Amino acid sequence: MKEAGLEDRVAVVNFDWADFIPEAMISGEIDATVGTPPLAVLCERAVKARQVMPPGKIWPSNPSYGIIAQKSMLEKRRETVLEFIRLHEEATNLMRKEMAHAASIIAGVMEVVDKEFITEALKISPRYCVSLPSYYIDSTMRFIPVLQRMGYIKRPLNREEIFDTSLVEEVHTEPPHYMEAIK
Amino acid sequence: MAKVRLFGRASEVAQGQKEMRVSCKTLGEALEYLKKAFGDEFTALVFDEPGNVRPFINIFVNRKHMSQLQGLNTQLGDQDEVLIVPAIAGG
Repeated sequence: MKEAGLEDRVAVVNFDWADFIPEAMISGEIDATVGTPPLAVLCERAVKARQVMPPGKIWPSNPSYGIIAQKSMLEKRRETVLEFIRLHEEATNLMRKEMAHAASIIAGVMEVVDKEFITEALKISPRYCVSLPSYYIDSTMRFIPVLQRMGYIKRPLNREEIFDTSLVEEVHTEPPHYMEAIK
Repeated sequence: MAKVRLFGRASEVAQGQKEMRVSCKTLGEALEYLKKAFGDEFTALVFDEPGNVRPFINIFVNRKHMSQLQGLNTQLGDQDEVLIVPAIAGG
């Protein structure tokens, strides 16, 4: 906002819970939002909102989620973590290769939305893969100064303090699938 | 009477109602009232078989999640607002 000179023209509202955002769009409290693919689908359905910028352009190669394990778990129960990552890879493969089937499963588990909703959400960000390539790590590292400036961390962290890629490398030996999903 | 607001699918299974007043002293009592008022479909959406609130259903009192309060024992008064929101938008 600052860089674009929009500070005085756009007020940013932070919500404690993303699930409050659709209601804020409907009531007119906010005019636009930044959020997850399901949020985009919700807003499209609720107020005919349109996606004006895809996730990859807001923050290229952003690691939208991570698998976090305590050091003690990595030391004592490495096999459990590996098995979790293997299952996670199976899930990401299913989402990428059989999206409709994956959507049915997800909708069945969630129960609060239907298969069509999930399919629309999956199509918005179809970068499902378990690998952790260097460009994702670099992208994360570029966020470190921002986190420090905003007070979330007291000192800069290096990549070894954050990432242990040995497990993912063990499970996912082929090239990353992120880019192949971008059409 | 506390105000209860229902969002998305929670409203759909409550005969389309989005807002109502419920006479109750606790959040648990409010939910019991809603179960009786809206029947099986509402109950199945909000609760699992043992009777716990489902993980994909968020319940807030004055915009604070029930897990940050006293859960179903959270006291409710006339000025309090309960939100029942299916968890969809979060990442």
